[in-house]
Amino acid sequence: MKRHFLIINTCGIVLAVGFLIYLCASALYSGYPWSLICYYCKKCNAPCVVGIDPQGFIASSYSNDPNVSMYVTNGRLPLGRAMEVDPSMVVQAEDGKKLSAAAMKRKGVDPGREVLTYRMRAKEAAQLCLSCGACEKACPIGLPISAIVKDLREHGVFRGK
Amino acid sequence: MDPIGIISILIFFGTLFGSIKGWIPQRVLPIQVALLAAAALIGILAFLSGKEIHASSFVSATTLHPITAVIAGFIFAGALKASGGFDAATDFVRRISRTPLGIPFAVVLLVNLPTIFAMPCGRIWVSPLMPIALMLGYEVAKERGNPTLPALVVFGLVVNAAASCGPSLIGGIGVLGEGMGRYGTGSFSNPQSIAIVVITVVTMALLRFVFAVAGPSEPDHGDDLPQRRAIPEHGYFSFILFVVGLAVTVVIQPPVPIQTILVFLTVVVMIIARLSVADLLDGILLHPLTAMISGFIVAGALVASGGFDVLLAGLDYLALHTPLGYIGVALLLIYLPIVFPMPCGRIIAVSLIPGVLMFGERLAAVLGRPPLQAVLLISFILSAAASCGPSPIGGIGCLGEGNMGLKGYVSGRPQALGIFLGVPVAALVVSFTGLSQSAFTVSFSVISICVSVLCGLATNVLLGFKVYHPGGILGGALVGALLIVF
Repeated sequence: MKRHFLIINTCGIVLAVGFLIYLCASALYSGYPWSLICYYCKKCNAPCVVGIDPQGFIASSYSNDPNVSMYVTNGRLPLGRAMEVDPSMVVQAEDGKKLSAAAMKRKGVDPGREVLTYRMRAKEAAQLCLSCGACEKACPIGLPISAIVKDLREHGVFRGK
Repeated sequence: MDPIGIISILIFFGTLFGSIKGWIPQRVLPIQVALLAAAALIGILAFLSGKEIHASSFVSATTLHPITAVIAGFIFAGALKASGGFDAATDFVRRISRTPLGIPFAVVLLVNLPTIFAMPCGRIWVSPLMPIALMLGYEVAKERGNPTLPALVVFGLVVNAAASCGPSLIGGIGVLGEGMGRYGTGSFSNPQSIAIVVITVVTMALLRFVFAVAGPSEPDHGDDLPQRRAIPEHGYFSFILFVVGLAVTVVIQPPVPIQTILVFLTVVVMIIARLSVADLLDGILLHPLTAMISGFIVAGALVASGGFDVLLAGLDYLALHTPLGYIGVALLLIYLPIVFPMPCGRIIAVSLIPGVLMFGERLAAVLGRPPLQAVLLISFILSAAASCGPSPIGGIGCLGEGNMGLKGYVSGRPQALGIFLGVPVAALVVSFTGLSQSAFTVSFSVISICVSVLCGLATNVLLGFKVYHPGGILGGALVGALLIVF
């Protein structure tokens, strides 16, 4: 390999390793370093009656970003409310198509009409969470997911900030 | 369809295809750097088009679990190697091969070990077992006078280990699919395990009769083969600790991360064998780790740019407007990970499983058979899990090729074909027996033992022994029984 490619490629690999270090630092900074040990097995997903994918809260915490998009497939709220909260929230139309709340409104759907959610930001998903703890019980390594939900619900940001 | 999404997915597949075909020479731009460049390009395009791109888009798309599990596994493999655990394992396997059960028994057990004690990443098993596979392969080649036999044993182990993250109950891809699809925990494990035994023997058969991959007659990397020397007692201790530790973890599934368990076992071995930290570094392979990291980064870029949405929309279009129909596109979806094999199956699996679920639901509705969603999902997951074996960009097959001193990506096609032919076995098992969270069902037990015994018989033939050699038969029966228990 020629010298300049050697340098470029070494920098690339260092960047990849640096990304991993950044991820770990991000989790530390959010105040939830234990989110790094999540198995990403989605066992927490099945017991949630609201259709929340609790692993989204974990991803949000190790990204240190409460705006990470996550699945909430069984939440119900009026379209107008969805628009207020986040116009880019993805909701499900009657024909099963997934559209943003803004796109739904442009199609002429009544703002008072109840829609089924599909994807939303973690901090909004925390508002819909029922705090039943079923996801924690299902987690094979017992991660305290509700601590993240509580933080997001009360503050909208992670305690590290 | 979003044009940025279309361009993104084209950039991604173009980079992958270019690297696999050699149009982007690895000596100029290795796959990790190529994928990072693709991710940067996609990110810039998405940003310029007005999409919101944050660092968190990439970070949240990264699955850290397999990366840390592999790091922990490699560290433990380094400890095993330094303490003489590999030598002890080789001695143990050599003794088994000298019993009346012979080499077929040892081979059947060895190549199926990763699936019996399935880990979240097959590399955790391949790293310590590769020297043993090489030793056994060269011994049987010398005995039978057939130079293709080492490749059989090595790549049989490789494809089995690659696929083993599918049925793993400690954070494997199967559990991921169960969770996302809201199926019972562990219900995907049984059909996958049986299919992997078949995939293993089919791959071995292809290597023997079709591709005839012959390595050097003597091992090239003599240093990597366990030497015939006095084995210290702590070597035997380390190896037994390794097997028992992982077996207990799989059975009990303690609420402790596997990474912690592996690190704990490493510390124990270090104390017993008086190893230093420098001794552990020998086991670490940076290439698959950096390939996985860069794969996840590009997956994050694709999610942010809408690339995966475009892919699913494209498949939907093909199903509705082409003669392929839903069944044709379902097959395309199942085998997509094999067509574009990544160094970690999760890179594609995590992004496409929601689409597979949606497609499976439609397929089930169109054909009037509700179980089809589970059939499609399990087949896709197994294909994704196994796809890291034939991946020429940091896949487990490359480990085998490197250790055997083979040139080119010779193990890719046999593995891919083996997976292609073996995945329908999982689909058939689910179709006929349904899903069950318990392995102790009559149907699974019978199928497991029968299929494993048949594979044992086939292994006898592949290794040049008589078909009714007791080694293969009993080895197969033992594997079938262990699949039920573990």
